[in-house]
Amino acid sequence: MKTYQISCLLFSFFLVLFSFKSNSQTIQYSPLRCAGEIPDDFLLLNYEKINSEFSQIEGSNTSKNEKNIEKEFANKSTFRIDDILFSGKTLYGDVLTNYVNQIADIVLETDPTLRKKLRFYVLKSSDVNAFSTYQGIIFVTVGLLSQMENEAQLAFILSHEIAHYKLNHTLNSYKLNEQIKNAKGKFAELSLEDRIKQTFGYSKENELEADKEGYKIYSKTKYSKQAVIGSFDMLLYSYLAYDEIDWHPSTLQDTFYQFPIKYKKNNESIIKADEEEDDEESTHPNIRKRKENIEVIINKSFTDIKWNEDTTIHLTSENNFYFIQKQARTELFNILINKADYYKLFYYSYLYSKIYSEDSIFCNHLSSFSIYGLTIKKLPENDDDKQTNSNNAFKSDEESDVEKFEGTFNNVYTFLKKLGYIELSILSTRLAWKNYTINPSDEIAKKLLHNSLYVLFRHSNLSADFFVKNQINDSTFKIHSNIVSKEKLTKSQKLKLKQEQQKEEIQISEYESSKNSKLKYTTGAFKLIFEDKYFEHLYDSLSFIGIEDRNSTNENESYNKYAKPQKKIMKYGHNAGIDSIIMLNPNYSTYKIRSEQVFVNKLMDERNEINLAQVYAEMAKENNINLTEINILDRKNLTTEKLNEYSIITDWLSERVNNSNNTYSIIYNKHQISSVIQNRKCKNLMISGLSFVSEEREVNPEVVLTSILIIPLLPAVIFHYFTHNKEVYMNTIIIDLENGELKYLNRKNLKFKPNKNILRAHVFALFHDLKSKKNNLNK
Amino acid sequence: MKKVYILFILSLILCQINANTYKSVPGYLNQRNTISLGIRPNITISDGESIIPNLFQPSFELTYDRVLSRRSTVSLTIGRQSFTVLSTNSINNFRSKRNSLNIYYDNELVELNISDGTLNFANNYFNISKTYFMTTRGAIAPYGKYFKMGFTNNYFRIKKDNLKYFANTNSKFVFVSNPDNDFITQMLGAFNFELGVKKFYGKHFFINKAIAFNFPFNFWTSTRFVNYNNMSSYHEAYLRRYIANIHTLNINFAVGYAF
Repeated sequence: MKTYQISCLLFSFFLVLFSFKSNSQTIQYSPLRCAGEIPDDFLLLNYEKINSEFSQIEGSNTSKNEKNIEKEFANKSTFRIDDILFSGKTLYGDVLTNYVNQIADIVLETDPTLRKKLRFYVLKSSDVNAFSTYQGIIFVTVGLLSQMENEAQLAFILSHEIAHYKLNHTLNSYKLNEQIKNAKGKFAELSLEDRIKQTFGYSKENELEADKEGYKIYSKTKYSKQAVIGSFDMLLYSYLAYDEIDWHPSTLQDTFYQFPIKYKKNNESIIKADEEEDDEESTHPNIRKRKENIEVIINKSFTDIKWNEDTTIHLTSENNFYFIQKQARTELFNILINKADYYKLFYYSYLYSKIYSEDSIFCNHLSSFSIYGLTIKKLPENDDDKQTNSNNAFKSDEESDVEKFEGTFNNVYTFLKKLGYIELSILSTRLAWKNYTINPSDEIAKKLLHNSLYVLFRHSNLSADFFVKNQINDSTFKIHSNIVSKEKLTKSQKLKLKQEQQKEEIQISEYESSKNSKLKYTTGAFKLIFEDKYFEHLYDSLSFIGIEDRNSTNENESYNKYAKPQKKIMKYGHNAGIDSIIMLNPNYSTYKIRSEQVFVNKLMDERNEINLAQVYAEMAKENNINLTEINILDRKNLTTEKLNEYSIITDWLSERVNNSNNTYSIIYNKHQISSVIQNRKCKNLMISGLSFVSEEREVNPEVVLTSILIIPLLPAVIFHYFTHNKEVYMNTIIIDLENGELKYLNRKNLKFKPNKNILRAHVFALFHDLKSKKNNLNK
Repeated sequence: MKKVYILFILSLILCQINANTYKSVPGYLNQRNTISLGIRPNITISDGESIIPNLFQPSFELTYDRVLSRRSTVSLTIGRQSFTVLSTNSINNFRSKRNSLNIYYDNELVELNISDGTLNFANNYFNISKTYFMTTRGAIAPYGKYFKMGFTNNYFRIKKDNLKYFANTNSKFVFVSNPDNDFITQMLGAFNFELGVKKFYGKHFFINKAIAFNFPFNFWTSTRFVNYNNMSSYHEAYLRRYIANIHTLNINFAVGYAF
């Protein structure tokens, strides 16, 4: 008996423990990164890939002209693909890419030769797209994976892209487009408009052909043939969010915080997706044509098939598919954060919370973050803007944005657009508080709350007592808000009520005169929250600081604890005392401008970049600067870890750039960049590069004439016009990865031709400038 | 120019060198000093005579540069040139510019002409300049395109007078040699201006090419209508003019080492 009791006790203990564990949720989601062995596509330099392409082209039995066009195409497309591979957005070895490869294995089970030629990667993009390349790489976007309804749809789309590769559409399209562009062959006599129409026409033919061929590939699998039609339906609505769930502003309200009626007006717009839309100026045929194209084949080859047996839409585990779908939808959040697309982020967090209710805490965090982001975006740039355009606080673009989007999202978008930055900061504070109470230990949750409150008072004319606290007798307030006969009140109750009314009237008249009457509905925004003593204390302190800073005449004063608007730009010649740097591979671009055309030699640029990176490394060593490189051109030493660091930095930079107001911006994935700082033991990121422009000089007839008349000048003038105008633009910035502060900026526009030694001198001088210390850094 | 002024200028330069070479001056890959060996062809075109023997009268010079900032250096140059003037016509042409040379011969004041021979002299010069590098053209001292301004002191001295003179006296031609063999060093100051480029090959070695312009201080001095009473004064005046001519426009070619 005793043993039984003990075992029950233990069982209950573990049950409780497990239930606690299952309820705890990760607030932040770490973006997907590459994993495993690095594929060959990432290890070869472009000139190696191009050489291999060229040798294949040389071995083919085509005419010389055709070979030249193919080489030109191979050259251009290789660099373009390299840009995508090394954009920091291409994934391999992660769950999504592994899944796509798994489906590709199923699709090409009967054609292993073709399977070996093809490589599949996932691209971190919110666009719903998949595309194949001449080189056999097929990209599938996260946006597409988030929209997929079943495995069979993905299989068909992959088959479609494989068909493009098999039929060599990319190269053929290029050849045709060149002919059309240069009005050669059968296009010689067509006008420009007709030629453009031809381009669209041929593109649509390719799509239909790829559908047919793709279907042939697809039909060899065991997937439902009918599911193909579902793929087109999915594509038809793919421009909308991955789900359509109603949303209303009342989800953000409470008893004392109610939006005005005009805010709650339903702005859901008509969904215009049409299977038979006019596709004359589109590269893709409309969905009706595509469906008909496939239905013909299906009917032809499946006259005997009974449709009720053709239901297989998952050949791998169905749970696995939904897991992948969820992963893709989760990944979308990071993509939207990087793009600073807060409207979509807010809506998608709402959708996600409805679909995956177990992750509601995570979604709360994101919706709070998105509203804060919107608040910061709408902040005026300086106090003068705030003073002169006091209506900016309430600025909305109502007239231009009605029905900008379709469906429920338009409702969300229009509502958020109507809110000015003060209203948004109030809403942000409310959501941040809700988020904070769930996760008080989360740094970002804390920062969101503090920043929201501070921004509210720093950038508005509101006083600390604008917001009604829970100081009055609740019953009195209830009596006031509910219509009750005054005859039933005692004298003291009547007087209290009268005092309350008088206070309200004062507040109304005060703020109506300052055009803040629009904010009247927000006075009770924190009423319920004030019940928490911590919030009340926080409110009092931050409102005080915010108002103090607002009233301060010194623009440089700020609440150092929460945001540091430091903009110390280091000019040339000022010494930063920096002795360790993380350097992204320096950029080197050469442009030759001849007869108003720009010529770029990317192969030469690639070699120059490799050399420049070596120069940087050497010169840093000469100056005893510890330089750690994240050089994606150093393919021999490239690792998955390095690529991931590169991807983390590009994401961080996107977030920084897209959140132009750096003072209050909060970086979502700060822990990711912190890991880079820890690994590299350095927090200074250097981005550097140079562009060399060589331009023909314009001949000035007057100068030439003068030089003929004054003979001694003639040789100089001839020399001047025969030599090209050479300019070099060298830019270097150093950013502190911890706080985003710009630590060094050096921009030069010089007239010389960059040879190796002079570049060494300049790079040496740059590092020398960085390393040397001077006492006064504030100039 | 008096020696005291030279000392004053030197001390100023040294002070500037000390004051300005602080740590933010990178030089060329941390090298702030250069030393170079140069040659100036000193192209001379004599009027009247065959030009070839006198075409090149090279001078050799040693230059030390010290980087002061990213765009400037200070240069100290010493050079030497040994001249042999072969053509008597140039000396005669100097005379023909209505300058006369009269000496006492046989207790008679006679006018001398020069018939044949050579005049050897040496010119040692010392130059102090400040060089400004064209940073907008990508230069960083001491690398790149520059212009240089400074002051040159030429110290020239006749080494040997092998000219043969004749005097037209009493309708007789007599040859006299120059009895005056005690020559003194003469000084000729000039303002110099140079446009050039220093290009490095490797970490230390460089080549310097430049066009130099010299404007001697006696440029405006007329060398016409002067009566000279002794051969030394005559030759020194001639040489002053001669050096001013050959240095006016020159080219400079040097190889150097940075450290």
